[in-house]
Amino acid sequence: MKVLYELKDAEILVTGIAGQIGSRFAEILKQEGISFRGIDILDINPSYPYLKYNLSDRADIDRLRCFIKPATHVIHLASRMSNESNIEKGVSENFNINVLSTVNLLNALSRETKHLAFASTMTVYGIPDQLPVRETSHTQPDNLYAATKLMTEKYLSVFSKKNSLPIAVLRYSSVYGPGRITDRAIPRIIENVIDGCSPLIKGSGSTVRDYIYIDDVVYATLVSSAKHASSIINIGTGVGTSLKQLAEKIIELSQESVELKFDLESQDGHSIYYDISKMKNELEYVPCVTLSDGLATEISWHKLRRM
Amino acid sequence: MKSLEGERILITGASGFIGKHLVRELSNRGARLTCLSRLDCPPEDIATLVQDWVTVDLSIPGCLENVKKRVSGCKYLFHLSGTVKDTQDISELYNTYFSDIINPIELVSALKSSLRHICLYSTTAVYSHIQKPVDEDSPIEPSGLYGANKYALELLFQLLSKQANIPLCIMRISSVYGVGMPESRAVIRFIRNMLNDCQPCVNGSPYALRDYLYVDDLIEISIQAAVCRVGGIFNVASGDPHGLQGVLKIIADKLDKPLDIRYIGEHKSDDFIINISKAVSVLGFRPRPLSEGLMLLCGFMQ
Repeated sequence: MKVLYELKDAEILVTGIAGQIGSRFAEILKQEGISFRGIDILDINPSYPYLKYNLSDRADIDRLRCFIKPATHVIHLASRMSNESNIEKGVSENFNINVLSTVNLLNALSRETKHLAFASTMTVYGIPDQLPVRETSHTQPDNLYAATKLMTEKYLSVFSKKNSLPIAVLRYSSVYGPGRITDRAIPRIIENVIDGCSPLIKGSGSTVRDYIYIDDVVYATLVSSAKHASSIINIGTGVGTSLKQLAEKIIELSQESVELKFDLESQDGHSIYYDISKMKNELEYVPCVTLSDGLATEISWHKLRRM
Repeated sequence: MKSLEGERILITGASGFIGKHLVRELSNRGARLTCLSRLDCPPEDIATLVQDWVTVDLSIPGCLENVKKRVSGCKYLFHLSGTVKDTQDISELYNTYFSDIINPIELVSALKSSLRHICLYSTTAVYSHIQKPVDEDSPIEPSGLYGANKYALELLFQLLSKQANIPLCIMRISSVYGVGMPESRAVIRFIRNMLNDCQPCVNGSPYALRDYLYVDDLIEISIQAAVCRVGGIFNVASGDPHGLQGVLKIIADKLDKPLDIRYIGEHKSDDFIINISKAVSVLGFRPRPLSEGLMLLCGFMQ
């Protein structure tokens, strides 16, 4: 991709590099020949410069500062969804993980840093008033994770103005692709289908989401870094797919003869899909991987994993 | 109209400028007041009006452990406390997140079985200045930590209110003025200068429009929202914006003094106009115009 040429002399820092999206960043950056380093809390031993660090930890910030120093571009993915749905119990944890970690990161940035891309989420919109959702649509987060992500966006905006650092807030829609095992709808359905079991769909399967393949997310983010984008941008495909359509597609691609089962006692979730004009206009990026191709790759990954 | 007579009400930030006005008015209406404050004892002018004065520093983690018993059973909460100083230095969040965000959430959580209504005082500083006049759906883009912390608290209070089914009224208030406000604030300084025949000094743009809200109007609308248990987000301002030059002209007229101003600082600044039509239509808000509020304040200071 031509625009990535802008990153040829860059040193990219990826936080949360050991996660599903982070790992794919590492692979693609390597493939593209772009120099990078990563931070995560996990004990891994990769081939690139890596710092095992909990970003919520302020006590050891000098170590963080030292590692970050050469980074010209930061891609801030590190985040965690707390399992705690009780607000009073989960507030401190979520605030620490999503907000204070980001503030620690900002405090550790050096003068070398020219751009920061922040991975936000479509959940900041809550239940949308209108579809497709635009960046200007009303935000109404309905859980702690989404609320703390939205707060982080605001603190980043304050920092960006004070320090004249361009910051792109990228609100990722539903990201799928190899690397995740069971905690989301797509991997769960795939695992069921390749086991020859009927996947159980919660509700009638009418919930619509905007599924974007992981590589498109990585490239859209890298383009935002290359272009020093400085606004809020929806990162999705602009196409809504219902859970039922999605599951049927997985069955078709897997060539298994299983039937869907519906748990009609469960309520359908709200539907959401994006208007991606801003991504197309500002980033000049259009997702390239179709849902069929992306799902086929993910299905192959699951099959391979079992061999 | 329903009344707050005999009701147990909790006020945080009760010793501040707005807090003291709220204490007086709620006490007038026969409410039983529990007040949280950093001060060891209530200010003299409200000491007799408060049933229980609870000294607590919300910036300290775990500070509410010994307080929860004393506040339990309160049915209404007016949450005023918070860091007033604004800054763009994001690392100040380390010093403010307990007082401005974590402890207030813990406080509401401790009270959620008894609370019937929450009034959260937020600020019009949560808005970006780009779109004007700003209504409640305008883009949120605080320019400093003050607005960002208030917005963070709004988001969390909304989650709690939904979970516990307690009506939450978020009041995004503009600059509040009135009797008892700190001497350092521009309006008071201007009046004091003119009364002493000193030349008032305008630091910044004399013409950029700002909205000044008379404190009594804020108190009245807050109590109205609590009594009727109204939920929602409301801009609470006068709807009568003026530049500092205009403010000074009104003051000079009221005090019958010549208008002689010294200007310093950057003159360029955007107007900030606040649309209050939602508060007007839903809450029946009828704020007084600036000239009326300044007349009351000048009269008091004279």
